[in-house]
Amino acid sequence: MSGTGTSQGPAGTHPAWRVYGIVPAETALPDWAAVGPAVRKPELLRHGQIAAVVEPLDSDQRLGRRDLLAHAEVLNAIAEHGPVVPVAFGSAFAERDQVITELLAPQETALASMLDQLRGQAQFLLRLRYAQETLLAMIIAGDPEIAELREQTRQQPEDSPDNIRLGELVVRAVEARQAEDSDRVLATLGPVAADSKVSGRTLTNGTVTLAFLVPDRQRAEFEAAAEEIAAQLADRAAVELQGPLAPFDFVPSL
Amino acid sequence: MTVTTQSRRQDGGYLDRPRSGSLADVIEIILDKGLVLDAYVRVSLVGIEILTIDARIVIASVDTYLRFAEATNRLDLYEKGGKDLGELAGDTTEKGARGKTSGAIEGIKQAFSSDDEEEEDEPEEEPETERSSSGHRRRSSSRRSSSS
Repeated sequence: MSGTGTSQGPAGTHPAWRVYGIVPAETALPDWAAVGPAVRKPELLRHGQIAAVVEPLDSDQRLGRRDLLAHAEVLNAIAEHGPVVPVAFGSAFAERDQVITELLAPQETALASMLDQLRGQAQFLLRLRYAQETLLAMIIAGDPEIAELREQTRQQPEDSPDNIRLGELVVRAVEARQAEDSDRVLATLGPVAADSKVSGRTLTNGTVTLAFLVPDRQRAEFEAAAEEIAAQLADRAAVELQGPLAPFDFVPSL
Repeated sequence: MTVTTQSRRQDGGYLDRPRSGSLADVIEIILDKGLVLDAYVRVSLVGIEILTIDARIVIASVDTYLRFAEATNRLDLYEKGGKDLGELAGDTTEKGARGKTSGAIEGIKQAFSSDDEEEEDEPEEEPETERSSSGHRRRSSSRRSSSS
């Protein structure tokens, strides 16, 4: 499970060493077989008070879907039991030793301090999935200009200037409504989190994702507040809460 | 109805608590996130295959407007909702100040989304198989995450 050198073959060479994240040196890795089918066998490479979670990559291997899932599963599983600094997907070093000489050794103090800051907290994602027809109906009902344009454009060619204008107004109204809802969620859940931000927004499939860094001791309170928000937004969006996760959205820069 | 398909709910609650996300969600969660190591210690061979996959052509905003206009016009106000934005407005991506990075990321997302579930090492053309057993709805491969 931890191990140093277990994956190093007799020749001692792998074309690359993939890095998942940084953890405190005393971290016990989970039983990977129980974490998920995508996960191979990441191991710890320790240096001083910190360690990198690494895995060898074969020469003919390129990163695919399984690797992407594994990256999330490995880091989220570690995050359930202790702090972890997620490293960007696709990061690797040519030599195993380089992980120490070029990452862990020079950055030990900075990385250890990041881990201290993250200790006792986990990331949660709140995702609003809008029901578009409901949202559009609300927008039409709430904006006379849009309602009128909609009537006018019904008999017009699809790409008429009025249609473009209508679409533009609707897009802006959708964005405004999503921004308003985001602000409301951040205002409600922000006080029961250590940090919060908009993580992603996709206009065209109607999802807004908000990220929160939640202290363990406030988790129950946070979850109760999230439940309340879900009820408040239920007329236009389904609300999902995912977590605890590794703090992908709250990594300070080196 | 597609927006409420996932997972268990707490009794009487409105909040969904999915155990794990769909692939699209995972992409949104981790891609372009996390500690970025110094460029010179990063080995390019790992990411290069992904990055060189053709970036998706970003659809101009006028097209997005037209799709929304159409969705708005098509809407029967007396009918209660069902479809989500992706289905109605189509698979569009906003154009904007996203720059070439956005294109590359779109490319990556599409590459992953069109990858075969089992054989991640093969470039696959075949349509994705929905992970319906876990109740996850396949969503657009053009999800764009933006930080703000």
